[in-house]
Amino acid sequence: MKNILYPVLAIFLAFVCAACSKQDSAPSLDISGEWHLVSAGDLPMASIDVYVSFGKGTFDLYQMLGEGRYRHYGGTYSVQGDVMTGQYSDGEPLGGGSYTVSLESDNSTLTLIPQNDPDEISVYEHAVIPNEVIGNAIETKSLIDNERRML
Amino acid sequence: MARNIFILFLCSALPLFAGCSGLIAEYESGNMQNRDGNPYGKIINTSESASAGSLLVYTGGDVTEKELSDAVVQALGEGTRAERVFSLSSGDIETSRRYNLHRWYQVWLPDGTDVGRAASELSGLDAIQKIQFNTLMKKASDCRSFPAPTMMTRAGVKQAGAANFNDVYLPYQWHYHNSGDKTIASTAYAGADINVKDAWRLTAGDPDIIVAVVDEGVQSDHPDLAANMWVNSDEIPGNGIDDDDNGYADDIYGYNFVSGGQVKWSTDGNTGHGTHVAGTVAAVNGNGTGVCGIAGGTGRSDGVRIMSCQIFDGFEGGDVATTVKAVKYAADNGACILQCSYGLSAGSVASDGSYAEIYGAERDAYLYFMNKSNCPEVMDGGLLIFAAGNEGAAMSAYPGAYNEFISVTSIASDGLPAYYTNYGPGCNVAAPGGEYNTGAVYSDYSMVLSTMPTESLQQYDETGKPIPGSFSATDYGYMQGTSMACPHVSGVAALGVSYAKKLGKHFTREEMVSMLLTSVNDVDSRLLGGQKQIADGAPVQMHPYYKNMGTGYIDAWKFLMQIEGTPWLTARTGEPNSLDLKAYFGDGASAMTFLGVDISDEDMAAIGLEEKPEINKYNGKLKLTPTKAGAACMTVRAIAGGNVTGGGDAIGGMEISKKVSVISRSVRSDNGGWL
Repeated sequence: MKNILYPVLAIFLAFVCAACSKQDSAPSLDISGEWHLVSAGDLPMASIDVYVSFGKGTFDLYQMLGEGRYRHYGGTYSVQGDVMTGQYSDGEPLGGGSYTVSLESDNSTLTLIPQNDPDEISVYEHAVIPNEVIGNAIETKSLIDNERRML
Repeated sequence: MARNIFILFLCSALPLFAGCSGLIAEYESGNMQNRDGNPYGKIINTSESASAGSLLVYTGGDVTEKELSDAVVQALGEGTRAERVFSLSSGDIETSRRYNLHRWYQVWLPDGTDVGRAASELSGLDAIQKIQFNTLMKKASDCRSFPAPTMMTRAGVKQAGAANFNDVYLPYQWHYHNSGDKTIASTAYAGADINVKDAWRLTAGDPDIIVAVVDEGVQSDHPDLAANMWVNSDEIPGNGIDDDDNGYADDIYGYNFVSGGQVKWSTDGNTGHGTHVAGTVAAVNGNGTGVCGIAGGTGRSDGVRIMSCQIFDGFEGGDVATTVKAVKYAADNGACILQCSYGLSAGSVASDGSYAEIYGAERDAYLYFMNKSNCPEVMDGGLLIFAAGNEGAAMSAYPGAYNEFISVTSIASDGLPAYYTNYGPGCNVAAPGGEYNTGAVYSDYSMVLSTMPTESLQQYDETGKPIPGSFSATDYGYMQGTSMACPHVSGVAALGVSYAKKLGKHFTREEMVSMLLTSVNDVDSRLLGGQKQIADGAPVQMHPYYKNMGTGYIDAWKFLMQIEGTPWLTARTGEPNSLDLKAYFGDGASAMTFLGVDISDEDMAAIGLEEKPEINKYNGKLKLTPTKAGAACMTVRAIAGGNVTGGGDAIGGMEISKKVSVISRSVRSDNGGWL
């Protein structure tokens, strides 16, 4: 019996230690909430309008690039420290690879810097996503498959 | 040797003499043509399929009606008279003169006159520059109709899809929403429809938008059409007086250009063709009865309006002179879409240049309509939409084949070309036209269901003989043909114009046409290497139709989305990109023929392009290598229908162009998501 007890105890202690060491590292940023893109590097914003809602491990993205209607994308994400990773619901990886995230002290501004282009610094401000944006958005394949008509 | 030379001379001269005698005979009969199909001298077309009672003449300068009448009486004798083809008492006089409509006259001939000889005589008059035989047009349908499902049979057909409206026959209109239900046809194909179900949630029409149905008379008091009929409120019905002084008496819902006065739909020889076509465009929706129309509103008197411009009445009409008057009337009285399910025989005109020359009066009238802005807040000019024809010919019939007009081919409920449809040069876009033998089984259900006159009409065969015991469907019925495909495109166009008005958007005519012809689903990908089964016929090979049905089959939802705006394409900075153009040119973009990309130096610099973008001719993708982040616009030109652009000596597709916006970023996901 003793022969079994010691190894089990050792494994338990190892888990406890590991958990303690994680708690010792910097806490992950909480970026949950609804955000509105206000700038994206040098890109002209005249025809770009993007809202994103970060929830508990999932995000909903509403974007309108030139067209007359928002497109709705969904996906999952996680933040480890100040690094955000994730993918769309259709399995497509996020275009920026991973993002370095930062929040203003009052949590009013979120900044995302893509790993593959540090120059495209995207700045988002807290904003409630209008109901008409959500209600009229086109669902993309990242949310619905096998559906030709989407509204 | 000398004898041999003499025999050789005789042999070579004989065909020449034979040819000469033939030419003389052809001239006498008015059939003379040169190698390109253009007749010699002032006579610009042939007497084949021409109306016997009159000729059209084009005068030089400002000859008066009396001067010309005097001259033709002198040339052809008493009983002959000349009158203007186009009324100049109404409409846009300046535009009429710009298109030389004032120079066209109709010379009426006494009964029994040989039109060929009369044309020869008139060609000697100095005042006359051109003489055109008054060619008869034909409807692009066999005009046979079949009854709509009765309560007894209706249970046997499953619903084709969820209904937006409560119209009882909507579930049988697979051409609006095709779920692939095998009770329509064993090979029915889900999605082979115009995808209007969701579009109706955005708009179902607008009463300010008028569609002129140039056809047989539309039954204006049909219970499923009456509320959407255009009404000339300035005219008092039935008093025989031109109350509004527009040149036409009693034109309440349009005009009967064949026999004058009010529109008729039940004269012997009528078939219901016009009423059927009108129902597809704008039968009243949401009224709990009958069928739906594509732009028929929601039942609150908010559908587009149908103007009946009657050019066929019984066994009469259909000639050029009658047609062009109807076209000008439509333009002068507010129509912005001309719905034309008729045409000449495919192949009777070889090129756009020939058409313009041979059918000058007709072409001029259409251009007049095309340049008339009757929906100025939405669009500059008008849209002309024609049936491609039903001869199974490898080219569109004219007028639809003309470069600036839209020619519509027909698909069946299986999403494949209907066995009868014309295809090839001049065809621009496809739409459901039905096919009674799809999937090797005869079925009424696989044709197009729409409104029919409420009176039963005797049906006739192709030779004009009555078919014993055969009468048209009443109230509602099935028909097939490019005649039925054509109003689907007209209806979608009307829906789009209505939506643009709702959004307060304005487009040029060319922009509207480009959007319409690229709001399509792919046809071509199913046409290589396959065949389809039809009842009582050999399997139909599909490969001849490849790239010949137009840009694809029309999609109402996509058209409305294009009117809202077109999404930017995202290119990745610093590497070669190959961007899909489906969002701009429809699902058939990969098989489309592109003509090039135009981009300004400023836009090149905006995203750091060192070389001009190109189109990959094998996959239709836009190739470009941006070197910096930014956004740029460029114009991509393509051919809507086929590989060759029409115009001049050619018959071919329409050149269209789209402004394509590209955003260059290092962040790019293949699904287009911003993150």
